This record gives sequence, structure tokens and C-alpha cells, in this order.
Amino acid sequence: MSDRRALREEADRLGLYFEDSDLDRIATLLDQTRESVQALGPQPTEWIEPGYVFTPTPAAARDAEPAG
Amino acid sequence: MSELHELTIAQAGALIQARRLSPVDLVRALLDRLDRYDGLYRTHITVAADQALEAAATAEQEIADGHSRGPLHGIPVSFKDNIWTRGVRTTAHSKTMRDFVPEDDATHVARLRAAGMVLVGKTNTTEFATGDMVEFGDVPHPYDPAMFAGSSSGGSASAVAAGFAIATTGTDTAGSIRFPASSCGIVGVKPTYGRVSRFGVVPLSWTLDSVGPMTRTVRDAALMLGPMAGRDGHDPHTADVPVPDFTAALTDRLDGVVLGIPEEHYFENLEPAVDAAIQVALSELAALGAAIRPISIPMIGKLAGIGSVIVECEAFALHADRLRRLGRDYGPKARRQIGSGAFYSGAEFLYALQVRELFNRELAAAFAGIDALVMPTLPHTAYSREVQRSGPPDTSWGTRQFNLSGYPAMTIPCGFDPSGYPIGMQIAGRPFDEATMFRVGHAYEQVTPWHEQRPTLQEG
Repeated sequence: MSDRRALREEADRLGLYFEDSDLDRIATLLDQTRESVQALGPQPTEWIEPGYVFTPTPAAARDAEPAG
Repeated sequence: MSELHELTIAQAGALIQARRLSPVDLVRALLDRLDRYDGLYRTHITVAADQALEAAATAEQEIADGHSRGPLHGIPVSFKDNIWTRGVRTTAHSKTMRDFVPEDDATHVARLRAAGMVLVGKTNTTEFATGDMVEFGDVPHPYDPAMFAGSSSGGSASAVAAGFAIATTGTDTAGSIRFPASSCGIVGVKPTYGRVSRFGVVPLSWTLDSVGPMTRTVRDAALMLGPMAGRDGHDPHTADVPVPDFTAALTDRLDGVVLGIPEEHYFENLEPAVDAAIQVALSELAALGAAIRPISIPMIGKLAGIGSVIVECEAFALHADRLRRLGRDYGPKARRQIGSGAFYSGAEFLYALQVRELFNRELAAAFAGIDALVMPTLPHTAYSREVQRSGPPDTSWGTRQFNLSGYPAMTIPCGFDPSGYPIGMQIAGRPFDEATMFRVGHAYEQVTPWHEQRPTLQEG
């Protein structure tokens, strides 16, 4: 469970304005998101190259053969 | 001839080119309709009536002088209000941008103007495409004002369905074009990541944001996407790939096309009417000659968490300085959604990117044997505005997958539920192969009536 006091301390450190109700909702959002990520199971064991920046490669599109 | 506000781009364009329809009359018909009904439906935040009439008169004169710019010349268009429009207020539905008037057009706006389209207005959206709709009100559904049109491009979707616009553009970070388009019964396109410049779009997430057309037919979407697309030096993520004539791929048959149907996620817990409509649609696609092939993509329904991490971290990175200065003036939902990105660790963000890459590899492998994927856009039809305020369902349930992967995807109408609310079918294609996606959707439209349905509006 996300710690509201820790969230407040971090928000203050970052100079961000949040009402208490904002942090309550943010804590819920963080918990829900982390629960969803946990549900994926074990972390990937395969090494994914660092510095990854997504862009679908034009070459992949160009080289793809129609399935039909 | 249909009523002017019911025309498609293709129909209106043909009449304008033949000088049987005045762009000024077409714009005036839309302005009259906005004036009569939009007090209730709130599809537009700003209407640029004088500018629109002037631009329409210019288009009419150019065509009369033999200087036609093509099938979009003289066609009215409205843009989502998080898209810069030179000289026309652009608020992103935020108090913090209430009086912002850009000095430039977004690249896709400039390109559509160059193709002759006439800017009519700016459509309603959630604050920064993620928050509430407080400053200018929410967007009632065109088929029933007690229901919600969808978000975040809800004004764009409802305007097309209700006949306040012939076409619009929207933005889509996790489904913000396809959710409201499906809900309102129109065509909504999220192109391949890199196909359309985001320059001049108030950003939410730079690796997920896309801009696309919202129209009444697939042909209209194909007509609009061509001029919108292409490399733009102002957006380094745009791809330097050829832009085809997307209408050239449109056919009435689908012989030789292989359509994949996801075995996971997309057919679980559907509303019965949605399930029934998609099953009938698949039969119709098969009758058109397509081969239907079940295909396993195990991760496809497990991406909500990592999608949230990526959107919220990127949104916070983009908004951090403004949140420090103007946080009190953000609406609560935008402040919370965007602000939550401050609290994830670097490791959590990088882990999300790793999972994203693994999903992309899985999706690419699935596409090795198919030309397009077909599935429901949403598991449900329209829900009430009260539900939207108190706690809406996961409306990115079926759409975020194609923002995370960058693949093109669109929704087209495929039926109505027993209460009379539209149902959407999603078609996703290979990267930079919107043409096949359009081909499938267009062929389906030729044998079904759903894209021709229009709501009966109530006066406000």
C-alpha cells in the first residue's frame, strides 16, 4: 500500500501542489497500477537492449510479405 | 441529395468539384445546426464562424477559377481543442490555457488547410486529454443526452455523428479517438506511430500520442489521412516513409486477405449485444472472401499496468514545470492522473518499457501469418454521464495495445445494442499498412448499413 505521508513528503520536495484528496486518489492509482504490473508474473529474464526508444521500423513494414 | 449536414466528404467533395454545392452553403448549414443544437450537446468549445465563412468563400472562388486543390477543397473540418490552430483559441479544456491563441497551426492542421479544408471550430475534450470536463462542460451522447459520448476526443466524435461537422481530427494516447468513435457510431483512426506529425498537439505522452481522422466512412478517413501524413521536421518521431493514396486500396471484396482473431482477452466478458454483433461481422467478412484465423497473443490483455506507468511518467515529465507553477488551476482529475507520474521509480518505468518491447515482439510474430487483426473496440456500449463522473470502466481495454505497439488501428460501426447505442469493431494493421486496414473496413461498409445511421437530436 502506498504511504500517504511519504507521498506528501515527496510532493513537497518536488514543489508540487496536491490536496490531501489528490494524494488519497494517487495512492489508489499507484496501488492499482502496481497490482496490475505484478499480475504479469515474474519479471522478464530476457535482456532487452538498453536505450530502447520505440518506433516501428519502416524496414519491417517494407519487408513484410502479405499473409494472403 | 442528402441534407447538407449528412453528407460524407466524398459526397460533398464531388458536388463541390462539380460546382453543384457551395462550400459557403455547406458551412452555413453546419453553423445553423451548431447554433440550434450544440447548447445541449457541447461538442464545440469554440466556433470560428466568420473565419469559416471567409475560407469557404475563398475555396469556392478558387474552384470557380479552375484552381481546385482536390477532394478536400471546401470541406468543413473541426479540430480537437488540444490541437493548435493559428488565430483560433486552443484551450485543451484547461483553465490554465483558457485564453491561449496559437500563432501557428499544428502541422496536420496546416496540411489539411493547404488541401483546402475549412476550419469551422474546436471540439470538446477532457482536460489535457486525461482529466475532467469542468471548464466547458462534458459531452452528452448524440443518441441520448443522458449518456456520455466518450473521451477524450468526445466532442470530435459526437460532432461527426450529430451532423455538426463533416469530419474532425482527434488525438489518441490509449484509445481517445477509438473509444468515443465506437461509442458514437463513427469511424475513428489511430494511424501508425510516426505516420502523422504531433507538432502543435498539446502532448500527453510522446511515445504513445497519435493524431488521426474521425469521419462517417472509411473512404473519408482514407481521403483525409493522405494529406495529414508524412515526415515533418518539427516532429522527430515522424517516419520518412512513402505516403500512398490510401483510397487506391479500397475494394469491395477481401479475397486473399487473412484476418486474425485474438484468442485471448477480446472475447471475454463482452456485453451480449457486442459479442453478437462482432460474431455477425466476422461472418460477413468471411463472406466477402477473407480467411478468418484464430491467433494467440498471450500478453494482449495484460498491459493496463505498464500502459499506465508509461503514460503517467511521460505526462508528468511533460507537465512537471507547469504543475509546479499552475497546479492549483489544474482540475483534480488531470492533476492526479498526471501528477501520479511523479511517484514511480525509474526501475518501474524501465520495467514497463521492457514489457512493452516483449509485447511488441509477440504482436509482430502474430502478424507474420495475418494481414490484420479484428476484434471489438470496447466490451460495452455507451454508459451514463453519471458513471463517467463517479468512476468509469477501463475504456482503453481494447485500444491501448496498439498505442503501446505503434500499430495502426481503427474502429468502425458494426451494429447497435437493444437500447439503440452503437457498437464498434476494431481493425488493426501492420506498421505503415493503414491501406489494408482501410480495405477491410471499406469492404465491410459496402454490405452493411451501420455507418449510415444518424441520431435524432433534441433541442437544448
